[in-house]
Amino acid sequence: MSIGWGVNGEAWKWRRRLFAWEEEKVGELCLLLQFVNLQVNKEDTWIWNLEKLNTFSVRSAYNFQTSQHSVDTPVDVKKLWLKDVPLKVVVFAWRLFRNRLPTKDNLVRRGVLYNGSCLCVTGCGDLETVNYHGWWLNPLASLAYG
Amino acid sequence: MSVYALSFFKAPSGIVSSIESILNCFFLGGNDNHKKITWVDWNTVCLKKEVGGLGVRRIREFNNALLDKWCWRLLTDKNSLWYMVLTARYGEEGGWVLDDGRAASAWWRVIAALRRESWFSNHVCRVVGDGKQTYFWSDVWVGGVSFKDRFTRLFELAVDKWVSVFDLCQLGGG
Repeated sequence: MSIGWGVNGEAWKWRRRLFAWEEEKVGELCLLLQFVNLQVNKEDTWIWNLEKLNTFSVRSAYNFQTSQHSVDTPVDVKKLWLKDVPLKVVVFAWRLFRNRLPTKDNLVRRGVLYNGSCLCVTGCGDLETVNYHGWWLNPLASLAYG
Repeated sequence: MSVYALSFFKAPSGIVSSIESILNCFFLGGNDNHKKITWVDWNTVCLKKEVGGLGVRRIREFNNALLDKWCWRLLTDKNSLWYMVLTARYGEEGGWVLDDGRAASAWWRVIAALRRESWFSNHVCRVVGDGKQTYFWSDVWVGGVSFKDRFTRLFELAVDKWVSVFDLCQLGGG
């Protein structure tokens, strides 16, 4: 079905005769309508365009409203959040990746320990930090924490 | 978490911050007498897991998202009893339940404000089928702005302000 809306068409009922500039506006309006095609037997619907299924979801609304908060370093969720691993272990690993564990260098930085005492607790002679030396290769540390 | 209450009422900001501070205290492991070091700040804890947080929900945003569902249902659930109660009390014009200012209930004032937020209206749009349920002037159905706002003067001059797209099309000779 096409819409035949001319400037002087019967569709428009105005409260008074239009001035010339107002008729121009009607022309503008008709221009916008020229590609409109109504479909018989199809209801008008609303679409929520943050969801694939086009219906509103609280999750999509929440995600949108919190997406402005700074996006941090991406994490491979599947590798960190494993189902079989106890939650406290996961959280520990999460803090490890973020360097948010009370290692000596972190404690010194926060003024808990004084500067001279940041050597590794295992006595390997290196600084105790969350680097891969301290955590993955130092057997004593992995015994103590693992 | 009190999802049910949050899905209907807007939590006062004082309540939101006390809930968050309880959650934060639990996470940090300290108490009032014995403070512990804040190793991870609360904003980071609230980030989604995909971007390096623990995925704890922000109460205020979660509350708003739950309430936004009412805004969606205002558009799509017009045959329901609660909608009829709203229109009976506040009146309806062009498919839009009126705000009714200060006389409105606290609940309706919150919802009426949320539906006006631009981010919400930017993400809903009208798909016209037969045009019977769409108001020609007041609905946003072509070009992202309602004709009422785009052609203010013409809307003022129109005799029938709440004509449907379908009816207008019929008059135009279809």
